[in-house]
Amino acid sequence: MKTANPTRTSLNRRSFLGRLGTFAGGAVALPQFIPARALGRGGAVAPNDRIVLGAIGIGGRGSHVLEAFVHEPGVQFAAICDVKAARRQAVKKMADTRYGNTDCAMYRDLREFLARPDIDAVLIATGPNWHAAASIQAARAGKDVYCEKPCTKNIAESFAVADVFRRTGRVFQAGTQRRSLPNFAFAAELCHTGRLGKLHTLHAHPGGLGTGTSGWPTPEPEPDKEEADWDLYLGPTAWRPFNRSLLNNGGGFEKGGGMVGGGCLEWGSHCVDLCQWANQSDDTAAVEYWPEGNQLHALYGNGVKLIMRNDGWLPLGSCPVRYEGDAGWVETADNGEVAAHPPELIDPTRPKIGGYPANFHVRDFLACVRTRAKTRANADVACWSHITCHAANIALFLGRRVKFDPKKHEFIGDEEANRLRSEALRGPWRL
Amino acid sequence: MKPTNQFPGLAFLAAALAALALAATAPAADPPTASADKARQAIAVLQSDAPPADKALACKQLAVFGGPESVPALAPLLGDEHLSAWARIPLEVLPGPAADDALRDAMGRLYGDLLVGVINSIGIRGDSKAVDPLMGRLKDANADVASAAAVALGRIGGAPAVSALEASLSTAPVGVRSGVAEGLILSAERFSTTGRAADAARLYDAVRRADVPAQRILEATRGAILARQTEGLPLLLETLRSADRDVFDIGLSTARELPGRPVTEALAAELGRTPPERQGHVLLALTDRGDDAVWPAVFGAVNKGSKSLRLVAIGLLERQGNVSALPVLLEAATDSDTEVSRAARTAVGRLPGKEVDTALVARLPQASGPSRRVLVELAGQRRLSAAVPELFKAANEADPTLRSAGVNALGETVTAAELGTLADLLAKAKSEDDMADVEAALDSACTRLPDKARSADLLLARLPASSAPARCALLRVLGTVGSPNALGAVQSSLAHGDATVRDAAFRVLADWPEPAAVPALMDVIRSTTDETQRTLALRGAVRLLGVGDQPPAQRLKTYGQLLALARGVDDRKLVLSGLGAIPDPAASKLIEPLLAEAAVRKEAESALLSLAGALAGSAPAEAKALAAKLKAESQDAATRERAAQVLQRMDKFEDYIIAWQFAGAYTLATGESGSLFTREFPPEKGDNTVAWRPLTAGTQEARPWMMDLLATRSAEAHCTGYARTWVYSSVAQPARVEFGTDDGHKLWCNGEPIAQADRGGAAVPGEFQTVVSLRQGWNALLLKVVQDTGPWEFCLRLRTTTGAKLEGLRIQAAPPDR
Repeated sequence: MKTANPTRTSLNRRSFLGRLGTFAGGAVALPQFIPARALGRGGAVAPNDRIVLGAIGIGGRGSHVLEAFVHEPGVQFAAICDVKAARRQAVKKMADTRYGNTDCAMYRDLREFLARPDIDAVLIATGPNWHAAASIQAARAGKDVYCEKPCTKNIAESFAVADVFRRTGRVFQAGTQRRSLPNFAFAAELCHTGRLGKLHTLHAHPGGLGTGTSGWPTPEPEPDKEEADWDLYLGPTAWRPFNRSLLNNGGGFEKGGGMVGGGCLEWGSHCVDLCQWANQSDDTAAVEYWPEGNQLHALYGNGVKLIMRNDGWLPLGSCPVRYEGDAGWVETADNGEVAAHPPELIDPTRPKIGGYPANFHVRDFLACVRTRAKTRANADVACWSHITCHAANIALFLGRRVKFDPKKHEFIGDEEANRLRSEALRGPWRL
Repeated sequence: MKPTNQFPGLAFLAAALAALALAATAPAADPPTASADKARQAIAVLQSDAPPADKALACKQLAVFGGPESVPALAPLLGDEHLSAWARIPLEVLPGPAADDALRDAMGRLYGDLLVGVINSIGIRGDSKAVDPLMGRLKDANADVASAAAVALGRIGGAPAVSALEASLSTAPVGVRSGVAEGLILSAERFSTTGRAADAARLYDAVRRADVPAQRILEATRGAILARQTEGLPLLLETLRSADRDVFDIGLSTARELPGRPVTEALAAELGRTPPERQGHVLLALTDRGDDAVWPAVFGAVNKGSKSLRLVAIGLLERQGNVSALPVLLEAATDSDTEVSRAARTAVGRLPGKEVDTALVARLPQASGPSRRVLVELAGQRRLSAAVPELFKAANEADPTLRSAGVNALGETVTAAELGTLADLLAKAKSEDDMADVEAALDSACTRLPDKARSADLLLARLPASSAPARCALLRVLGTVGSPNALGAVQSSLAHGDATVRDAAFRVLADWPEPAAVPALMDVIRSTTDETQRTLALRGAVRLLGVGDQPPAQRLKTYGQLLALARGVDDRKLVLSGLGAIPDPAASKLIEPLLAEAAVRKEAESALLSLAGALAGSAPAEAKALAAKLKAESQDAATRERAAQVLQRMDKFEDYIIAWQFAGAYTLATGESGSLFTREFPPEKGDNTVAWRPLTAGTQEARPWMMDLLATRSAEAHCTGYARTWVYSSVAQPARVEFGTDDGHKLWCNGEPIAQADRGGAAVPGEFQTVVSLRQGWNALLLKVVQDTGPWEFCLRLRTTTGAKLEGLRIQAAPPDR
């Protein structure tokens, strides 16, 4: 497939997992974690550091992440909250089988679930319509939160999540697990250490760029609340009639927001986030956005350009990113490989982990729950990377250039764009 | 991703929506009149009998394009159970007092969740005129309404709102106090950001003293500390000394936020007063402040205090340290506690910067005892080539542990110029352990050094004068290096006078990394009387037949010889384990006779199944026949099931042609890749010397019919390749070729060009179509696919000219006259 930059080197496909102990001088280290033993427990988990976990809205993706959680030492999964009876029962069965008891509690309403004082942390893997509101409710109830992506529906929700987690002192981890994987860390380090020279262009795969407004499905007979609570399923989203297809496809419900649906948030919440990391823009967003052919281009305040494109990637797997500087480039994606020019940039001892597992990211979250440090994808990081995605979506939706002021939190002289920053929530829910 | 607009609706509104959707790719903004038109159309929908679905979408239109004139159409919907939230979407963002008036008015007549929603919108808009009615709602019997009013008052702010909230803090029902506390905290935050820190602290303190949920108190505690800035330090220290874990935790996160060097210094001092089990947490918080003043405390913690604190400090330096951390870490690296010393060595190994390398090299000559050994190990860990002279000294010292460390480090650091000197250490070995260390170091060095031939020659030069043990070690290292010269030396050593050398040479040969050793291994199989050697040689030969790029026919010939030499059941099982992977139908002729032998029947069937899978692309008819036969005749249920799966998988290929041969990749000099499409390479010039090889089908689970040319591993970018296949048609007939390529292509049928496109982009099935006249009999298809970067693939099928399935074709990848 043709790309704008024909420069290319062959990939080194060797895995050096067996040589993790050897690091060349100047090599980029793995993401580091404070091991449990470093906190004086000799690897065992002290009673005070046991984390009681609950989960809200566990479907396919949620099950995968929950699996990563329950395998970690010191985690006790205690309760499932889901508007669907079948999901509640499936998760309870998993937990009870694992622990050899019948203790896992089931909840339909997250307000009752969050009122449990013994739950320390919550995994939120509902549909995107609930992510921000549920995260905020959980924080206000004194819970730490690991929330699947996309974490917010719009710019206002992004700021609200950051504000509430700062105010409450709770720990937040966005489910952007690539922040905790070595190939993406390595690529970011190449930018941070200047080994690519002066960074000038970032490329992110958005996983689609189509936008539109969320819809009103074909009405169908509503099931009993105990089987599936449609009102709670909609939650903060404006009302619409029951539809089983919508009920069963919660992963895409209002993904990207009710006002501006779809867009770049599918993978942008990962890939744009990684680009912001590489550009050391974790505390800001791009300032200018414009559609360019079948791509979306954006510009950061430091002059670095961001290109969201769906094609032209090296065959390295899903969620690719590419960073270009005046002395070289690096590209990596989900198979864990790294391609770079000049080839000497690649550290052959670098461990390769493909398949975007969540366990490293989950460990980072759990470590921070214990130490109260900031996670890799904390609420501020997630806030700004999501805002870049939302602003890009607004440019796509309006079909024109928009300019954003990250300090004032508003688009410059652009009433239409500014109105798309937020969307009223259905009562009684609020941010 | 497709838009999710599913609204049914009025035609004009749908047209407006379509325009909106199209705008997503339009280069310019709507002119103001277009926006006004959209707003007018949306208002008309709201004022009509349109169904709720259309009115809902109209609300969204007005959120972007509407003005104050929209409000009269929106306000009535606030009381509509289903459309109230939709109406608030524009009302929450429309500028001007009309929207405020509408929401305020609705507050007086709604109840329940609809009222809560309206109050929330009023709070978002910050409508100061709503303060009075909101104050009234603080006493609403519905706790949700009263709580929403409290939060809205907190958002709006102002003296009356704050006073009302303060008064409610103790008088409000328990279920409302959390909302009141939240409202006060929001007010306090506004005070903090507008220079009224004292007022902020007062509100925070009020919440801290109130009977409100613990989480609100924690938030107020954080706020009370931050509002007071440095003067909040005593309260911060109080939280860090609290026995309550939640309070301690809020102290930890607040310690990361409160700015100022005095704070850093006070927290560093607090470290010594903190119980050991909490010291690590406090140190982590301290370091996260990003204040350089913290480093003395971290350095100090590396070598004194509790073990847990030391490990945290070392871990912090590992992540954030620089050359200044070197002295304390080197001291810890010789600690008697192995966990501490190991952590410290790891940390030094990861410290960034050339200056760390320089400092380590400079310390080496003066170092002695355990420190010297640690420095030697670190020189190896960081691959410090400048340390090589000192490492050779270490490798020759009397202390065996130091000697060992020196030799190991040399394995990671020597250049080709120093490899011979490292090999010379074999002759100086004082023990078997020394010898093993040098051999391991040579192995590491030869694996790392890129010029394998040069490495081999350097080792070979030392072979003649070496003692038997040293010779054995050199042979084993040569087995890692490979190269023709090394193989020759190994073969010569098979006849060496010393039995240990002969044995070592044989084992190296059996493990040789390249197929070039196969003939020598065949000789051993034929000639040896030692059963162990014979088995090892057979294993080695089967292994090597599975690697490299020898033509299938040549490999089959060797397999045939191996089968003839096989003496027993185990030998035949071993040969069968490799035979099934040869993508050549002729392999079945070697396998099928073994089905009759009960002891190896299962292995023979397994080999045939593997063969069927390998042939699925290049010889589908043969593959299907093999799988069908096993499905019908195998006595093993699992084998029958696997055979059925192979057949099912092949059915998924639909009628795409998956039997192809490939030639390439062909490249051009740098700067000429733009000519890849036009340049004629040997396959399109009919060159009979072109090396064609089968293409593997089904490499992508979801699209088994997509032929992945990257899987050929011939090249990855800026190249071109050719695929060919033969189609047998029982009659002369027209056919439509439907295909897609990534990137550009040229297509020939029976030598005639029938399609071409110099283009880029994904391979889309059926994107390109052309009609050809198939001859009766065999027809040759040749496809050139140009690769830029990224995916490199194609798919192609033949259909009738109306697109129906074309029955009765036979496909084969190899030329029909074969």
